Amino acid sequence: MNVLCIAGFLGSGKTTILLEVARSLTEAGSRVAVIENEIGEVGVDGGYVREQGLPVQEIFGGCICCTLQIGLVQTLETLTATHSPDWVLLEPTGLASPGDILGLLVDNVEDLDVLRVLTVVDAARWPMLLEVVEPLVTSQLQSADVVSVNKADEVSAEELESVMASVRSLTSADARVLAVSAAKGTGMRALLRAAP
Amino acid sequence: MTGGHTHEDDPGRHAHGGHEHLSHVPDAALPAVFAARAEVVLDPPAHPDELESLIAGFFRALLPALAAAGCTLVGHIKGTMAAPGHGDLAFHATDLEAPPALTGGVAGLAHDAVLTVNVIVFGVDEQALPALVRDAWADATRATTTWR
Repeated sequence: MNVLCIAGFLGSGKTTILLEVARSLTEAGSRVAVIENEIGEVGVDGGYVREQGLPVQEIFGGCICCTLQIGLVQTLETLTATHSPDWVLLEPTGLASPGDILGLLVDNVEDLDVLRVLTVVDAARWPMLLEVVEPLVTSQLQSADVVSVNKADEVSAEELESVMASVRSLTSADARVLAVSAAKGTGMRALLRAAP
Repeated sequence: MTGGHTHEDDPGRHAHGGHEHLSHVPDAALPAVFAARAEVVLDPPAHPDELESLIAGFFRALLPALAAAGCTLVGHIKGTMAAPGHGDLAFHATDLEAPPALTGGVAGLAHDAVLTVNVIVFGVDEQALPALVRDAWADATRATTTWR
């Protein structure tokens, strides 16, 4: 089984990108399943993803990187038993630390072939996020294999270059950093090649 | 590690508060969270554009209220207005100054609808957040609303 964790701050566009990745993998012949984690005890994204025809398991009321770790492991086991997915796309809350999720999966899940992290950054809000929640958003970059700097169409070329430079300075040297606009489809082809 | 609430079909029922669910986030970065569902009876039934106006009015009431309550950052405000058999109108916002983005929509006249709303904001007292959201909804509509 392969797992792609699509992390990133609240409102950065994780669900939109998840659906594009799912569509791409499905068109390539893979069986895809989705895990949606939300902090509140009422989910929004799971229903929307399910409407797109994907099997979805939802985990509510906390964060799978800390207090709901067993919930994640159990949910992966359930999905494996019921859907035998080639790929599980995992969308944690916008407050999750993907590094903690990686450690959890490596320690507790057997038969993991590929485990990757795609972190989504909101280009339009990046300066403000660094000001208000810097430790959180920088931690979300540290385990990323690929970073999608999303909403690139909402900032100027100079602002985008500044965000890209900031993000590159916070990621590992071998992480790929790609500017995209998921809503408009710009840059998505390169992202879909790099992410899974 | 602790167990969690996992579910495939029944999406939970009550508002959430409590930072015990975010043990890895520093206290200074903790948001206020409110997620809830409500049954809404629209009488007279609403046209699709009236539902969009209703959601827009909700945000016109909610965003200034959040700002007045000390909101420093909108994590996200998202949700759906679902009319069984007629479709869903989805909305989301990440900015105190901008109207919500709307996607999807409801076809035909809607009488009964289910509002799902998920609000995560920074700088607001979590105990005060449910009333801010419910009051903003009440300001936006006279529809009979039962919060779950």
